[in-house]
Amino acid sequence: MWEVVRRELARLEWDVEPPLTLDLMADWTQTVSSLVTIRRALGPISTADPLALLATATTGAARTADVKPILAPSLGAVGAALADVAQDVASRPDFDRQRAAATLNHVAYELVHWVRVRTPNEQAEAWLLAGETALDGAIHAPTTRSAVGVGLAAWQDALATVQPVQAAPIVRRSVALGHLAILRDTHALVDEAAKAGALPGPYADALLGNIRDLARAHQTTLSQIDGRRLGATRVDQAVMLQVGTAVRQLTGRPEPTESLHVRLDVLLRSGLGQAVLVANLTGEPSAQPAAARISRLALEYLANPRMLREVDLPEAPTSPARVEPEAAAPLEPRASARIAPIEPTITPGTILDGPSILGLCRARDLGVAAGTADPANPPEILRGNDTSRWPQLVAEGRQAVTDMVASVLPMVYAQTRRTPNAADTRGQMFVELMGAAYRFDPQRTNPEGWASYAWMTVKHARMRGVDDSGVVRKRSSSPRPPTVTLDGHDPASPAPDPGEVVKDRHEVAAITRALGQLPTSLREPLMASMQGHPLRAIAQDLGYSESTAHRRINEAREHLRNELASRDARPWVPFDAGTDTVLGRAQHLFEQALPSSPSAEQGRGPAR
Amino acid sequence: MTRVRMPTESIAKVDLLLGQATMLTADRWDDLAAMIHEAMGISLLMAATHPSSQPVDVPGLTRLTALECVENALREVHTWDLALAADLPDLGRLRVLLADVRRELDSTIGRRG
Repeated sequence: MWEVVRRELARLEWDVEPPLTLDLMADWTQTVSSLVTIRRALGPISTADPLALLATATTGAARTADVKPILAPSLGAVGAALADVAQDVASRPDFDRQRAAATLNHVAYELVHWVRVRTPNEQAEAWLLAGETALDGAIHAPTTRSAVGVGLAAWQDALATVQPVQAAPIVRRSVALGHLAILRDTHALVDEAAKAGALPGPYADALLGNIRDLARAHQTTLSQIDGRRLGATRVDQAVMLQVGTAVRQLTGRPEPTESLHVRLDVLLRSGLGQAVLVANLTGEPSAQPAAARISRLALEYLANPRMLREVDLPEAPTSPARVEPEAAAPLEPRASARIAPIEPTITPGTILDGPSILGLCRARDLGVAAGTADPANPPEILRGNDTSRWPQLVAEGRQAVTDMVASVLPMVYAQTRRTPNAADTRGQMFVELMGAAYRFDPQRTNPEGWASYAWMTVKHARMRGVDDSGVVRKRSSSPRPPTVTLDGHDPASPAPDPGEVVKDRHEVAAITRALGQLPTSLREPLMASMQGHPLRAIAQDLGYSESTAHRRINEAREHLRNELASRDARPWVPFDAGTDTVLGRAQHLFEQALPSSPSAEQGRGPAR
Repeated sequence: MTRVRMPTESIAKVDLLLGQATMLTADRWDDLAAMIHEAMGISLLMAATHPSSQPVDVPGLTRLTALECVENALREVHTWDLALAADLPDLGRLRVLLADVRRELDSTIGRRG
C-alpha cells in the first residue's frame, strides 16, 4: 500500500532533475490535505492528534504574511501517491490500522521536515517545526504524555536526589512508601488489563507475582524502621520534599482522560518506577531479586510493546472506517476550489480584545464540530450551516486557532531566549499553545483571559520538564556554559608550562597598566564587572542606571582594547568571550593579585 | 488577624500513622489500598513541607491495626484548625479519604480486625 509513497519519497531525495514547483507552501498544503484524508480514514481524529496539529501548524505557516513563494522540487507526485493510499485505506477494511497510522506519522514527519528545511522564512519554519515536533512526539514517544508519566519523571528525579542520603531512615521509609503506591497502582492496572485480554495471561501473572513479592519486601523494610528515630537534617528535609511531591503526584486521583493503556504503558516503560534502584535504596535483600525480575519483565515489554493491546478503542474496523468522498476530510485552504482563500487576520503579537477572542473561539468550535460531525445528524452548533460549507468551516477553525496562537507568539520567544535547545523548546511550546488554543474556554474565565491562559501553558510546559517525547528536560533558565577548547593544551596536566606562566604575567602586567590609565568613572564599573558582579549590582553600587553602567563598561573595554592592541599586534579577544584560556587565566591571576582593587563593595554612591 | 499555627508535630504523627497503615495493607491491592496510599501521599508531602522540629512518637505504633492507625490519624486531623485549608490545600481531601477508609475498614474487617 505504501510502496508508491516510498518510491516517491526516495525520488524526492535522489532525483537530480526533479519537477519543480514555484510555490512549495501551496504544494505542501495540498500534501497535508492528503495526509489528513488518510488519517481520517483510519479513525476519528481529535484536535490533539499529531496530524491535526500538523494541519493547524501548516495553516499557521501558510498564513505567515511575508512568506514568499518558494521554488523547490514539487511534492505533486508524493501527493498523488498519498491520494492513492487514501483510496486504498477507504476500500480495504482488512488491514492493521495501528500500523498504518504509525506509517502515516513517519511519512508526515519526513515530509514536514523536508519542507521545513527548505522554508527560508523563520516564522513559517517555526510553525512547521511545531508540526514536526508533534509528529516526533507521536513517533518517538516512549509513552503518551500523561499525568502518570509526569509523576514518574518527578519520581525518577527524586530517586536521583535521594541517593546521597539514602542511609537516612526517613528517606528509606519515604522511598518504600512511595514505591508501594506505584506497585499497587500497577497491580490494579495489570489485573484489569489481563481480565480484559489486553495483556498476555502468563506475562500478567508473572508481573503480578513479582509485584507482590516486592511489596512484601517493602513491608519488611518499613517494619524495620523505627518511627521514633525519624529525625531529619536540613538536607533530608529538602530531599523529603522532593520525594513527597513525587509521591503525591503519583498517588493523586488518575486523570479521567487517561486510559488504562496509557497508564500501564508508562508504568511498564519506567521499569515500574525504577524498581531495581528502589530495591538498592531500601537495602532490603529480599527486594532485589523481585525487582530484578520486574525489571526483566519491563524490558520484555519494551522489546515488544504491542503485547499491551489497546482495549479501550474498538479494534474492529467498524465505525471509524467511514470514508466516503463527500464526507472525506475537508481539504486544506489552497487545496480545494470550494474553500475561499483565508488571509491572515492578525500579525503576531497583536493584543486581542474580548470580542475578537470570542469570535475566534466560535470559529474554532465550528471548525472542530464540522471536522468531526456526522452530516446525517449535525450537532446543535452546526445547525443552519449547509454541509457543503463544512470544509470551509474546518479551514476557518484552523485559521482561528493559528490566530490565537499568533497573538501570543512573543511569549514563546520570551521564554526561550538564550535557553539551551531553544528551537526544540520553541517547537514544543508551539504544540502546547495549539493545544491550549483548542482547549481555551472563554465562558469559564473571560475572553481576555486567553493571554494569561497561554502564558500559564507555556510556563507549565517549561516547568514540567517533560516534553511530548517523555524526555526529561533540565529545568534551567541559565544558558549553557560556553565550550572551552583545549587549544592544544595537554589535558593530562592542568598546570601551565613555565613559558606560559611568564607570558601570563606579561599579559597581567599589561592589563594592569592599561587599567591604571583608565579614568575612575570607567575603571570602577569595568573592575566590578571583571569581578563577576551583575550589572544591576554595579549600577546600584555606583549610583548609575543599568544602561549607563553597561555603556561605561563597554567604553572601558574599548579603551583597553585600543591600548593593548597598540602594544601588541595580536588580535584582541574580548573579556567576555570565555574561550581564550590564556586570557581567562590572566584575568584570574589579575583578580588574585588585586583582591581589593578600587572597591566594588564600599563607598559607592551618586556623588561619584 | 493572627496566623494559624501549623501543627507540625501532629502532621508528623499522621504521617507515621498512615505510613504504618500503608505498611500493614501492603498486601492489599483493592481500591481501599489505593485510598490509603493517596492519604499517605498527602501526609507524606505535608510532613515534608512542614517538618516537625523534634522527633515525634506514637506510643504503641507497631501494635496498632490498620483500622486503628486510620482512626488515630483521623482524630489528629480533626484537631487541626480548618483555617489551615489555605496552607494545606489537600486538607479537605485527606479528611474525606480518612473518613472513607475508616468506614470501609470498619465494615470489612470489623472493629478489631
